[in-house]
Amino acid sequence: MKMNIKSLLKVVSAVVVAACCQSAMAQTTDTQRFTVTVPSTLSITAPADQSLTHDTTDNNQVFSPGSLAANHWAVQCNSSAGATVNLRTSTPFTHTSNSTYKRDAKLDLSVSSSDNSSSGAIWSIATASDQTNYVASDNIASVQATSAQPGKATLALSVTFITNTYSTLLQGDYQIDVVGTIAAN
Amino acid sequence: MDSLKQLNTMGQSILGLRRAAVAFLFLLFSVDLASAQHLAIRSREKDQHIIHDFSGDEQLFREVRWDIHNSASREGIAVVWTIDAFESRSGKNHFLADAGLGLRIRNAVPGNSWQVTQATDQTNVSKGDRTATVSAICSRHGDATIGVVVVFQTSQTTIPASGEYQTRLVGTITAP
Repeated sequence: MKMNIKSLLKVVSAVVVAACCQSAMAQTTDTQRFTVTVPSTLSITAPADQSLTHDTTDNNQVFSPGSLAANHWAVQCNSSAGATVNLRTSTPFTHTSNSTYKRDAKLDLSVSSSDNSSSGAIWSIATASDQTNYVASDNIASVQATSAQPGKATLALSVTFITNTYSTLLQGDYQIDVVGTIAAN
Repeated sequence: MDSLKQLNTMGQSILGLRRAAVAFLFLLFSVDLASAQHLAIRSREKDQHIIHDFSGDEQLFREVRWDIHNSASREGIAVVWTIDAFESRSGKNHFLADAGLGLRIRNAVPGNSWQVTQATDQTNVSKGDRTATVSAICSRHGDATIGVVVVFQTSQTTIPASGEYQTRLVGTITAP
């Protein structure tokens, strides 16, 4: 009788092993992971240099970007907290060969296009307008745009040559350099 | 003499039990081989990785192959692949990006028993749909290699935040 129980145990063990083998041979699911690395991007691109010929009146002379996208500043950032763009001139319009002749420069900034989030445009203007006042030793004008999340935009910068009195202008070229910088917030 | 008879009877009982066990095991393995041993789904390639090139709102992974084998279910099988939206976590920041799926049968045996039932799908995170599903069926025993394309999708009007986005493609066989 003792032998019978041993035999039965062997049979049961064999059944268990067989059942395990059966379930191990059926694979009904598998997985595969997919990863995308999005690199950091932070860029600002200026439009081409601009020039105009004064109309010989006392009117201010405006460098307007118009609607052509190539004449707008292109900015892009994918930092999670967004970025701030600063456009600045550190001098008034100054005669290229006689720096005692100057005219103030005015900057006006607007967002011409922007990526959107569910709550609206991602980019907005922080400082829309500024101008130099060289008589009062203010030689700097700067305007800012900012974002709070990843996104790209184009910015329309209008630059004004403030003529005052045309008849007192020395003939020749007057220049400023606008420098654009972008920094992640 | 009596004790010899008793031993002989006991020996015959043990022999009978062993024969019964062998017969039972033979029956069990016969059934096993005939029905449930070969049902398999395997992703042939390993995990996949790409770097976003900012060239557009869709970034495609190369097609990956999945091998399916069914000699278990005569009534056929259904195979379903699901994927969740891509997810990136970095500190407090949490970003999601839509995932797209495309499916095709690269080769199949027998060819006329395999059919794509859902060829494409994509998540739509902005509308709360965070899972995409594609599927194929086989109406009897058969083998197939399925091609699956995974797409990382972002809105046409935004660029994705920097970081590492991940998701997992899960393939599952179901038999009736």
